[in-house]
Amino acid sequence: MTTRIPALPDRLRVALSALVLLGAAAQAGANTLTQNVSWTIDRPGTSTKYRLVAYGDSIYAGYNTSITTAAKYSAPTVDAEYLSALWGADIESVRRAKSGAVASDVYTNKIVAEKSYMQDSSTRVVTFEMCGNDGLQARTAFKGQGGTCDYSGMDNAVNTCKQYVAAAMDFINANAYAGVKVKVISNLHYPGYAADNVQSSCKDATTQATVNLQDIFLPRLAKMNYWMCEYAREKGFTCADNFAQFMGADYDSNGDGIVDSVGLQWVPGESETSYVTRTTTTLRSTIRDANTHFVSASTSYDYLQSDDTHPTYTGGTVTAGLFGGTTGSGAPRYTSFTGGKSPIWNQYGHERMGWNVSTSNTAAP
Amino acid sequence: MDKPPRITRQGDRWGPAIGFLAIAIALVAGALVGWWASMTTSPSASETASAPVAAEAAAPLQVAAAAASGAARVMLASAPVAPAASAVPAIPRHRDPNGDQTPDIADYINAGEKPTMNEVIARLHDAGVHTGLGAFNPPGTKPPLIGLAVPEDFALPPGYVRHYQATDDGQRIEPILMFAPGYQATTPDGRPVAMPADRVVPPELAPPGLPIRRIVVPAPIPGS
Repeated sequence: MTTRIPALPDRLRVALSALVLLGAAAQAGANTLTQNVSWTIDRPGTSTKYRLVAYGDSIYAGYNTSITTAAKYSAPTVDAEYLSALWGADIESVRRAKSGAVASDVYTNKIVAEKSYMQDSSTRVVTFEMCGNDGLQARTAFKGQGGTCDYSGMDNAVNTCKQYVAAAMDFINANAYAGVKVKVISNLHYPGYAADNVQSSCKDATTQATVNLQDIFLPRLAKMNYWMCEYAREKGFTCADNFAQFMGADYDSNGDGIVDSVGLQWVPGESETSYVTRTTTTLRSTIRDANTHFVSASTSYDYLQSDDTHPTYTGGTVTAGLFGGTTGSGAPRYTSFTGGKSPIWNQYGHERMGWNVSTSNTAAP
Repeated sequence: MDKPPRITRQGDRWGPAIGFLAIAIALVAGALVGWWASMTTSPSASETASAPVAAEAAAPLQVAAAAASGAARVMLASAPVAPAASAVPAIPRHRDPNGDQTPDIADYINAGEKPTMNEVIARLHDAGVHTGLGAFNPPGTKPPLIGLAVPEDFALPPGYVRHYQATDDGQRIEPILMFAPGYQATTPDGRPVAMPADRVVPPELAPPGLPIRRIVVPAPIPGS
């Protein structure tokens, strides 16, 4: 009896399948991607350096649909460029981010576990964002429901978000370097707003009818965003209201006398009911998918990448992900900002978000 | 007389194969050349950057085959010439002592592999994981719209929009011509015409004077 040896092509296929493809990864932690980057805006003529520390998930990471790279100019680094011009100094943007991380993960494993980065005496700005993945996961789960709709997953995501946002602010207040001048939370845009304008598979227990996904998700997202801003007000942070900046046009599309992106902004001191009603009902017609962000009636920009989720960017990429992160520096793209805005402030998602964060910057470090 | 049976190795024993050995030597040589090339690439004069190099490559925890599902892109320009061979960098297996100690997906990928995000997401879904990266839409879910190029100096009539997009690797795509939301085009005698659902203006509804040319999406930047 002889034993057959696989032909070379068969053996090659086996070898290549192991060489090229990914191992199964269902274990906890296997569904996220660490993407840390430290990028210094190296302003000519100065050696004074201050630090901006940013904690978050794929948004602050500058996720660009790659497992090995990220945007060099994600929102925190865009803000660093504004700071560099404002303070006449080099600004080190330290991005501690994990794509796919839920709020509890960002809080526990980035903000708390990596607190040393905001304790450095050069730190002047601390900013964070979270909760987007809590929402994405809850949305995915809801879309998969049949039978009677169960809204508890989305509601739990809202509550979890509130819990960790508040905890993160408290922790940063207690642990960041005492000389920190600016603390900012970025709230959430609504990725896939247009795609969610469809009916659910499940049926509402009361009406026995399917529900519009957008109608289900928007109010819950609004609650998350409200509490990010409200907790910011209560705990000494400022709120970069990205929902308004991404989802509202920069002109008055409904003739109410208010630019849409201004009308959608959170108003300090308003109630949750007021904010949610205003953004999800009163001004609902002014909310538009961020794939077509109108800067005027005749010009629009796509703020989302091809995954219909993450912000667009410009300025190249850096290594961040599977093969580790990047520590680097480079000259600013712009050294002064007329009216506090770069020439491209409204042309890409990350540029818009970075500008929005920059509006909280103090005049001096 | 029958030919004598050909003697081969036993099924549960494995010895060196000349073909395999040659392939392995070629792979190692290619990796070394690629590594050397990457180490000697200079950053631009105004920028410096460094990425960590793995100190060791531990055995992966799991290995399984996966189905790739690369998203198709349309109207791609010719791809720039890529290097003939490049080494896959090593996956760092040590954690920053001042950082997050929890595992991430890099701990589940074999040394030498570089899956695409489409492959990662597909593999997570195959494993029943719809959280974390598994809750992300795959790249290409909503690819760039392809339409008529609209030059910057072309004066748009009412009802038309100049729409700008970008590639996932951060390249600007030249603007396309779209209809404004809610705009209804009409024939010369005033009859409404069917409007495209995606608002992208077809050539037959382009405004007079617009040169008819479709945009081309820039090819991906190698390594991005």
